[in-house]
Amino acid sequence: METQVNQKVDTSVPSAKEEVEKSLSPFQLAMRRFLRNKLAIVGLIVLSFFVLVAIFADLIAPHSPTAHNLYNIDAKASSEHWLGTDSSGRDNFSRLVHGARISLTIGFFAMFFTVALGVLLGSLAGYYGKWVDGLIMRATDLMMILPFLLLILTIVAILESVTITLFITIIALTAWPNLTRIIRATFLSLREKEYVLGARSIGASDFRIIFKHFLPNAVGPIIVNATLMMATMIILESALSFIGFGIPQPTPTWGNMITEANSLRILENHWETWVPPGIAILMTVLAINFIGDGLRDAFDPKSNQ
Amino acid sequence: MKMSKFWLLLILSLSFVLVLAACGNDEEASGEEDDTADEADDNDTDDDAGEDGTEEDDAEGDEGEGEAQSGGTLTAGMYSAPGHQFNPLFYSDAYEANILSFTHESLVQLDENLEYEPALAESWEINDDFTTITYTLNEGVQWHDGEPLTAEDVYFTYATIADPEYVAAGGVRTNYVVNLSGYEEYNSGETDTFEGVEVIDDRTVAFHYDEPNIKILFDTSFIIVPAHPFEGMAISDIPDASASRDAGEVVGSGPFVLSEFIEGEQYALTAFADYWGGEPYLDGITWRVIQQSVMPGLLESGELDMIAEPNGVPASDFDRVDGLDNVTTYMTQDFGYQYMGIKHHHRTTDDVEAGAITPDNWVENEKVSDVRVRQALASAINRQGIVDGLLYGMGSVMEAPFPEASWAYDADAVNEYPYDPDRANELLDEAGYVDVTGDGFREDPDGNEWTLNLDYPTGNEVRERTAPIIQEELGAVGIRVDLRQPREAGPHFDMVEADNTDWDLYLAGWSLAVGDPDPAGIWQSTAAYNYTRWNDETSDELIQKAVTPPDAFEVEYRAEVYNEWAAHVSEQVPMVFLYSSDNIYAYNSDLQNVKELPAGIYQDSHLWYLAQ
Repeated sequence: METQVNQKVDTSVPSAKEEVEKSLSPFQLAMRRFLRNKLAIVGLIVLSFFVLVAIFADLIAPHSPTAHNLYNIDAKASSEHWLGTDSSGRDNFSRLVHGARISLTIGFFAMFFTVALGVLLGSLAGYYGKWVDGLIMRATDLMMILPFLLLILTIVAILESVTITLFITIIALTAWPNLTRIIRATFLSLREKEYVLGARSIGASDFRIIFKHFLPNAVGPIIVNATLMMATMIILESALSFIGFGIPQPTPTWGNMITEANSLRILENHWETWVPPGIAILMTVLAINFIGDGLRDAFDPKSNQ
Repeated sequence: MKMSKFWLLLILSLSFVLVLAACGNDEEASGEEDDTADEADDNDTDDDAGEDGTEEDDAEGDEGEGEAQSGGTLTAGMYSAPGHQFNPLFYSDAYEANILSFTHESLVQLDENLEYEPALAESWEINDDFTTITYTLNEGVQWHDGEPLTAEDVYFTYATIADPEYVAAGGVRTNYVVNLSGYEEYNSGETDTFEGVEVIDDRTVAFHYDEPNIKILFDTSFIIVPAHPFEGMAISDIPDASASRDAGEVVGSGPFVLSEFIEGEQYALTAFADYWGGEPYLDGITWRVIQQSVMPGLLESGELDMIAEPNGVPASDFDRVDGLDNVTTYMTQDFGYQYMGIKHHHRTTDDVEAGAITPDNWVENEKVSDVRVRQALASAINRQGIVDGLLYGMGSVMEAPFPEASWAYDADAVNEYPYDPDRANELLDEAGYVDVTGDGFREDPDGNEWTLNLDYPTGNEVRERTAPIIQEELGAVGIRVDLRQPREAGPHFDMVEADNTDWDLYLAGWSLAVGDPDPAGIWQSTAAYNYTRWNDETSDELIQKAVTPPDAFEVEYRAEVYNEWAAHVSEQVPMVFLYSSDNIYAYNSDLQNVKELPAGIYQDSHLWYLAQ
């Protein structure tokens, strides 16, 4: 199908079409492909919704997410508490709204710093090769030998207190090896390209080559992995909070809210406590994954949709 | 691409359907799970009982219904893992006690009227001036390894506690021996024989006191430990010896043997066939470490047969558990209590390493040294609210460490601290703790930042929930609280004990023996269990006064002194007593012959049987 279309274009009005296509940069092309992906757009809308909720949490939430009320514990939904209250008498809806802020913040920044670290180390390894590569790759091997979740659990158990900043740092310092390997592999293949040789032969600095020639060509895999990683991080935070190794109470996170459902009583009789954060996690992660898939297709030069 | 979109949509819609289905059909779904869970559990039981399999079958054939039936394994749940110490001389937490209650025994035990009745001892005789008690031991009592239990073992138990190295090795039970004759000489190393405990013959042992001892039965009710596994061992090596730590190596005289465990998960006790009281009906008892919140569900499904110490079923689940047909509940007042500890002093690192409890070396924690600050802490916390809300009213607020059931309790004797933030504010203002920086939190009288650290353990969920509540309530009166990451119970209590830390406030609880209200074991400044490191002369004097004969033979006199002491405690607020909850024990209705005593339900577990 695709080839037929192309042939038609070629035969009918070649010059005009070529001009149009030439005026688009690869990035613009990718954007165009991305915007044509309906699922990705839905994902983008859902994610934007949660981001807006997170930003305006203070305005949306009717109560403080940490204020307890000992005389109103495990209350059912009412006009005062839209989703009832939890086992300490805190407003579930306010916690849900504020949880979006914490979960997205953690997801985004954990992803951001992991990517920053991964890109830095991956570029160095991929570009310089030799002993730099050897050193960094052995370091990644070392990190990957240790089971990721176990490593995080150990670190959290040792630490005196886990703040959001610390939590993000821990994740970034343990999650970088995967991305580093991907970037390195991309760089290794780019290194042999003629235009890189050309750039080098006219005396371009390493810095310039990396930033002008390597990174723009590697931006596809980076963005795709970054997006998918953000989803992973949100799940990771929820999972760790669920088992009590994440952000400690009373900070509202979706994982902390779901912990309540450990009790059969809550699970059966108080669905309003744990279903909404569960759906929130599901929707966010799904939205991010759709966006990630959309981006992968968009950046994939082999897909011509 | 078309395909993958299709799949994503399918997955998306399916997951929504699943979520919705889960909401709608909850009861049906859990009903089905119950059946399978039951089957799985039965299989487990068979596997566990592997070796005894044939025995079990025989028993089933022989006995009719209504009679005690042999066989079956009981699964019990506790929410925190025992610390790794199964030597009664050195154990310290309630989770270890759950194991030791079945593997070890004392000379005497408490009956339903909270009076002592014979256990390992067949009978006893107390002389007229209450300075000597002579026990005759039961005949034919065997240790798990087949050795006979003799008076030498009783001597060994008490001599070890009196040993000069005992406290340094980590022991905390010295209050059982300090009044025995010759304690000073033996403890200082002057003599090699402990005069306080006299071995008369294999089955007769006498305890001697210099002064008349008004709680002579209580003082001689400590768990008896065998001497032979520790023969020739230095006291400092005993806590680490395999006979104190390893399954199959721990030797007691109780109806069950600790036969196997997976640290932190499961502790299997198997019946001791040669138990002196008769072979236990049950094949074994398996303790599982399970989150408190999931226990009621497991009890309902039959995967768990018993929830007992500490604290039993969470109050929030009482209605649910009580309504179950397959579960029997038994409610009794807890003689222990939950509290927010205040670290008045810290020991030096040297003292912690040496295991020394020397009040003279302690470093004062100036952040909480002002009594008005401590009173403000008590006033700022809505303790009645915690009882009403988190405990569903099943508990009581206390101001001094005597539970309502005790004869030493007197509600009128103590200063009360009802929830009153205004009063807390006044007290803090008066003490000079005011907010000079305008950030909403008070600074200390010198204008420096004033933050109180609050540490708490996981496991007990009501206690876990109180921590953020306390932080918020103290914050409301301008006290900045740094709420630390909660720890597992084991490490938490190790740190409570070590106290060469920066701790100010911590949450903990006491499970208390009910034999005698004498608070010396926890409140005497030199007691190892004096975790708050409160050093108060008046308190120490009153505690001693209450047990000093001859006046102390009168219960009224002791009650009077304890009232005086309680008044002093409630004025000084050495710790904030949070609540004393009602213990809700729950067990499978098939389990028969359980003795529901005020002190718990573990007694005579060899008579327990499962109706089949």
